[in-house]
Amino acid sequence: MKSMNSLKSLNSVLSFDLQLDCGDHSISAAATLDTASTGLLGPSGSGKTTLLHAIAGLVSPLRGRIQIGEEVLFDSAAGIDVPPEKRRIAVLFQDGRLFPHWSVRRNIEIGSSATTEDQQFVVEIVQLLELAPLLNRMPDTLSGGEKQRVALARALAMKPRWLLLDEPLSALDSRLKKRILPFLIRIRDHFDIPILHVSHDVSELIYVSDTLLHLTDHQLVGPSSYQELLLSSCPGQIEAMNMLSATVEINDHGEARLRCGELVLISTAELKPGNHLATVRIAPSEIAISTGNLGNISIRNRIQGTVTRIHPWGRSCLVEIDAKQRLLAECTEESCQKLGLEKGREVTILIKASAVHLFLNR
Amino acid sequence: MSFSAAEMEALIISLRVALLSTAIVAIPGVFLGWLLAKPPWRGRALVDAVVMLPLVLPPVVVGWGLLMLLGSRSPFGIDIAFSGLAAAIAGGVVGLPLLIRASRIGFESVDSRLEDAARTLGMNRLQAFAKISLPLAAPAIAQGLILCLARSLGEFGATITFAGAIPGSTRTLPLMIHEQLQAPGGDQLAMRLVLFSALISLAAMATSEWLARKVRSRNGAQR
Repeated sequence: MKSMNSLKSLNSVLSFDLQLDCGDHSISAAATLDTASTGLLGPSGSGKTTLLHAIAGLVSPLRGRIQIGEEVLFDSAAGIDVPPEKRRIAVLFQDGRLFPHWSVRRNIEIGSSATTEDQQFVVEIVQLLELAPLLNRMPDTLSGGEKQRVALARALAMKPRWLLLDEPLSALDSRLKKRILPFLIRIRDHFDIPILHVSHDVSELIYVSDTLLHLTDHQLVGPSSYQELLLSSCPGQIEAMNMLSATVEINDHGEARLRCGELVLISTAELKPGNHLATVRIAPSEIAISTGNLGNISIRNRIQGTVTRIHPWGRSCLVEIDAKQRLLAECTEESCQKLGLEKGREVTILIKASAVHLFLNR
Repeated sequence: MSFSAAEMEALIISLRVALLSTAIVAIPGVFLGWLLAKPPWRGRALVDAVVMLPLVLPPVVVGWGLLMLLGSRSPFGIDIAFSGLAAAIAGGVVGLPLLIRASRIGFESVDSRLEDAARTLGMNRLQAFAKISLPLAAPAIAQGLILCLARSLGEFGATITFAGAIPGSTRTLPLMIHEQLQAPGGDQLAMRLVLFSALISLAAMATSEWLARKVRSRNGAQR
């Protein structure tokens, strides 16, 4: 996991305490966001988009307060409601919402001023998001992934104080998603613009966020780390997942060896030759635990480790294992008892090479 | 085929009156179209019905209504009956529903969420409307303006009631055709004018259809 990126300036800390009307239910949401990238997790229909739109000023909260640094954007008690065009909060919508009658270039430039400095900034964004070949095209000639990249560029070009991403990848297939995600990482690392990213895909969020928020039926929980959030939630609410940063080496047999610190994993993921930086994703249900002699077995990844904690998880358990990296494995209560799993127990964990998935960071 | 001075005069008056009437109703028509395209608001159905009235009422009733409102017995003290302006207003009022309908369809075909996107990018309500919704609805609005112009060109009942058929001022092509048909031996002249009117109307409808197609293809590309 990456280290936590705190915001460089206190002036960008976004805090809110809101009561929101989401049609069939209302939610209360209070949080202070002070990391460079925050993820917002929650089932569809829970009000994630409404919360985002309230922050951007597109919907009015029932009551509450929103502020960035010391500046109050909304305060129902004081009658303050800064219109969206004065908030300088950019939104990347799920469907891009490019203006169909304007070229890509005009779409991107609409939010930026004509100063040389801003124009230079636009050039930088266009370069970073590899949009130069598309500048003279019309939006209806672009593919879904291209549209989202243009919409991202448009949102950035206005130099927003915050960038809100509203499930920007949900309309894309997983192959395209994997190609866009690295761009989001680039944006996060390159520009000093804090990001609030909404998604229902846990791996996507862990991949790009420092901390996470969880919007359940009526309440917002967090911000906290993924593991904290996961273990404090009810089983089934949040997908359990292991995410590790890795460098990828391809050996002579074309096999991918992933170096996550001292832990080395083998993956069947197909990669082009060369070295890559990647994020490894392994579902806890794909990890098996053994305490005895293994004998002959086809599983390639066998790692020695020590049990550090066991969390009851519905009808099964999440076993936290220190195996040069902290990993979560899911097994049934019966198995836990049969294996005599407890804190400090030495175990071998087994992961099939086909269960080791990759996100490439370019 | 050459025109007599009187025919030429009627043609010029027709065009002048039709252009003026379209200009008069352009802004209120587009505004009402936009208003009716908004999500349902209290009283929308009533406003919708009232603005569509001139389309279904006999034009002579419209003319009589205008005479009551803007004639010698006007409650507002405005008497413009039997003037060029009256002819333009009569034509405009009967053409207005067509402009409203077309503008409304145009605005309804624009994804209103684009304006939200525009707002977050720094545009205020008016700028978002002027830069996003209006240009996207423009082909439909243009279609409405042409229909309104064509309707106004052909207006007869409201015009003769409210503006009369004064040669050199309010005697438009349809009024002159009517006059010729009443006169002994005027059939042939009337026929020429009828043909001529039909040509103008056809050209207007063709342009309108072409614009409609443009709207459809643009909206198709949007999705």
